[in-house]
Amino acid sequence: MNETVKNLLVKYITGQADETESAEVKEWIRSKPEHEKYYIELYEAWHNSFYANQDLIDVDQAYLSFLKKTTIPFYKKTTFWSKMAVAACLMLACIAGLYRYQKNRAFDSMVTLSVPKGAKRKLTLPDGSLVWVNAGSQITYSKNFGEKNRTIYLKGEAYFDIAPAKTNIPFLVKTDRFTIRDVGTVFNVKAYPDENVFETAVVEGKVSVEGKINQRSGSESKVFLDANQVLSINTHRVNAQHSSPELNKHLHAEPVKVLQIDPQEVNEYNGWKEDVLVFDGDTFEDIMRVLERRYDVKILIADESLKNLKYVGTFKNIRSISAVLKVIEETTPITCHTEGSQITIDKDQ
Amino acid sequence: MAETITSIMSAVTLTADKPVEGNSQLSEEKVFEELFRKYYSRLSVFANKFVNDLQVSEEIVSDTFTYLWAQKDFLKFNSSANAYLYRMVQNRCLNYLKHKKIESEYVNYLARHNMLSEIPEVSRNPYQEKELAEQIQKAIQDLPEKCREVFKLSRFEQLKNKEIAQQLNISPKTVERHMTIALERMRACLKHLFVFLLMVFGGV
Repeated sequence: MNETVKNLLVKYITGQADETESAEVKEWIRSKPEHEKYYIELYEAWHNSFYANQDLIDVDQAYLSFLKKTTIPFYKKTTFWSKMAVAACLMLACIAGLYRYQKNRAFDSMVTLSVPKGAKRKLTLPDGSLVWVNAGSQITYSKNFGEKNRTIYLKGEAYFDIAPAKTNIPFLVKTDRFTIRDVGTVFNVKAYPDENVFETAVVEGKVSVEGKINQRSGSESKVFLDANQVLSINTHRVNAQHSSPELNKHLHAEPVKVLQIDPQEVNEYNGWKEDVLVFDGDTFEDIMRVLERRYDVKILIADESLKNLKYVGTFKNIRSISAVLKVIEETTPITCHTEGSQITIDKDQ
Repeated sequence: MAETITSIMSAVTLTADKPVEGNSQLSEEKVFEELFRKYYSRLSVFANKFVNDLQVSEEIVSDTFTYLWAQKDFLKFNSSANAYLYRMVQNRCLNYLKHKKIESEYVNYLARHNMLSEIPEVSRNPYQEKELAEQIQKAIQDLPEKCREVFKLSRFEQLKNKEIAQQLNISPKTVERHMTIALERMRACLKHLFVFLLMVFGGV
């Protein structure tokens, strides 16, 4: 068998033959049974050789896109959480000190999960604890999680259902500013780097929040939270040396707040897990940021005066951003324009 | 101001147990994720033999899993019933070829030899798969150095001959020759396996 034919066969098998060459190969294969057999063996060799190394196939990525595609069916069926939300109580956690974990820690032994905007992801940690990670958030933990530590580094928002400890290792959630410490509870933490609020809501059990809670004194302190309590800290106070008009608004807000809430109000803090969005007097600016992450869109508030408008409303299982905005448009003096994934919000004319 | 603010609000004690159906929902997702992670790349390699396009193969496998999730079919699965998964993927591949009017010499060959009806043992048996992987790794290791380099770039990095030529600073013709030598050797090396595969394939 001559080399030219062999070369052509290989080009054909690897998908690099042009039309003329392909026709030539097909003809050659058809012409004799031995030709066909040789071709099939070569083809098998090419495909079987893939068994030696399947790294090209990214299963994690595939699973993530699968989750993204099926986000809604995945959670729509969950009656468990709504029941539990009623059975359970919502608790609010407080914040403590500034905890900066060392930047030079061994990153190669860490596992990081980044959830893109418009998605959310649930996973089981090696110790059996459950974590729901919200859109545009990231968690990192070490590969030996559960053996020597139970520490999660969080950027963004996540909901934790902590498995009871089999050892004395404490479960810690570290955000860029605070550490939440707990043993066997259920709680939500919201600490997006691009937002000025740190917030922890405790559904079950008890947690402590450590860090520079009283930002004026600047020293480390600790707050204990029980079930049904929410701690929110205005983090802009922490480094509020510079002052912009944007910032001043936040400076007027109370820096540290502990709220007692009713168990029914739990959805406001953890509803995102089940595609329930609850706004209870949040400002338009904050609401649009939530919607941006939830639906992976860009929202521009064209009129400054709209930013501080407050809105109350609950949305359940709404698939499209346009449907959400339509509801808001009906009851508030705003008009929305959509161009691709860019949405502009303006005052009614 | 006190450095430690202790919450003065009374805690509400929770005594309610988690409902049972909650746990079954959790395990349902877990079962599915395990299935996905275990079979996704295996099925993609399997599908690739039919469609000879890795991207299309992965799409077919993803769609199969989406279908499976929606149908809740996976709940019936047990370790010996996974041939069902292969069958689903195979059917989808054949439909794809038909739809795109692609004539695959490989599929024709299998069809004529009644080998489409059985799922190859190697696709189902992790031990055989492991053995096959080891044999192939050895065969690749035994290739001449340049030849091995070219083959790896083509097979495991999905590079085209032209890209390989550029990267290694050799002519596309040389790349072609290396590829032919590599594949020819792999063929010879896996020939005994091929016969074996055929036996399991058609013979059961």
